[in-house]
Amino acid sequence: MISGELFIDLLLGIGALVTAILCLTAKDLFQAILLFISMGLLVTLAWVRLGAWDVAIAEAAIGAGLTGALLIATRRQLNQ
Amino acid sequence: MFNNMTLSDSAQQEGGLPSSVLFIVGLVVATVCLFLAMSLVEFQPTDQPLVTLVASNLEQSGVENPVTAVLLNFRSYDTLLEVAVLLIVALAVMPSGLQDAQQPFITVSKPRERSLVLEAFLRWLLPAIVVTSGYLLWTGASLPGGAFQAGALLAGAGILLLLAGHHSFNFNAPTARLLLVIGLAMFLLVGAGVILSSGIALAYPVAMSGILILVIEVAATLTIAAVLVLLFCALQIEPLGPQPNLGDKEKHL
Amino acid sequence: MTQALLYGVFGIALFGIGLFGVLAITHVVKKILAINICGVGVFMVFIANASSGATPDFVPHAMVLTGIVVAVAGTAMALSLVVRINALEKPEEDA
Repeated sequence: MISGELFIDLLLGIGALVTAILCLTAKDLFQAILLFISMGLLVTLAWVRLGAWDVAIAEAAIGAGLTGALLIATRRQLNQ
Repeated sequence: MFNNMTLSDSAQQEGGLPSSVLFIVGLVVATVCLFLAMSLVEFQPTDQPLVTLVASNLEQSGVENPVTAVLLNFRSYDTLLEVAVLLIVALAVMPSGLQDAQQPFITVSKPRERSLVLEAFLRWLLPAIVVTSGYLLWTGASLPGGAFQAGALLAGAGILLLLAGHHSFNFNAPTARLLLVIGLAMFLLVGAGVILSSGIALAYPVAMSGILILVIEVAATLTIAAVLVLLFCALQIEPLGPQPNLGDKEKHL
Repeated sequence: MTQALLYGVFGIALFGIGLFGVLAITHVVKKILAINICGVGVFMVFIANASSGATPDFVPHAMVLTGIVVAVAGTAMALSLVVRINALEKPEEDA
């Protein structure tokens, strides 16, 4: 019998792995960027589960938010 | 493996490389990961000396949040060098153009296309972001938060402001240059200043450490925010704001 | 299987996925994404090991925090190089 906490940990970890694989195999660059942002948010939750609150805040703001903005700006430049 | 790189969006067919090479690469990577996982399973940390060290010295650090204490007191060389790395990256992507040095840091202009929803939203959001960032900075002394998070939030506010199109930043202006270096300058200044009292660089006197850390953090927040906004600006070869003449631009590329 | 070990193994798997991506993918921006995934895997191993004791070890937390900021700076620099190269390779007429 899987306990609830272990279930959440497994869900977060496998979710991060799957989004990472989907991100790298996506045909469209925009899809890949969005999947990368989703992976960042899942990993943020993993940091919270591991008790690293400072890292979670930084990852949410930088890893998911700013990196996403930078990537989307790059894609816009490439498509011009 | 690194010879045939491409930028085109459509021509991305997983196999720029032959599948035999991909197979071998996959095999090698999988083997490496297997060995890493095995060594991780066998690795049993008996005791963690750093935990007790941090906990027993937290009183003297001037802050109550152990992460902030590690970042800005116990291992402040790391953070000092990190701010230096940020400054180097900023210098690397800095738009050239000395003639812009006379222009003000922020110029306001009419955007080509207005996004009314974003504008109205930002009127509420931007003050809230700035206040939240200040809160994160202040609370970093005792609760999760600190200079990095506050700086990242401020940078987010700056990027939103850019996207609304009314404002454009000129990072060659004196104010902007001051913002870019103030974090490193303040860190070095405080780090060198405490030599007078304690004799060791970056070893803050216990009574003053709280306020010194706060001073460094405020400066570092400003620098981090400015550098991150600059990094975003550097990606816009054609700036979002008004662009005078294209002839100049091509010379700078 | 403890929580620390579980996340440690997930971190190594993320690192492996990223490493394979760096070596196998030809699209430059996706290569950069793969390097970032590699980095996230490394951070996860760090944080997972830090949380193995009764109280978390805060030194790796601080190191990861530094690492995140440096990673985004490196990513931004790589992306700006990509944009410059793209602008130089483009034919001149649409400048």
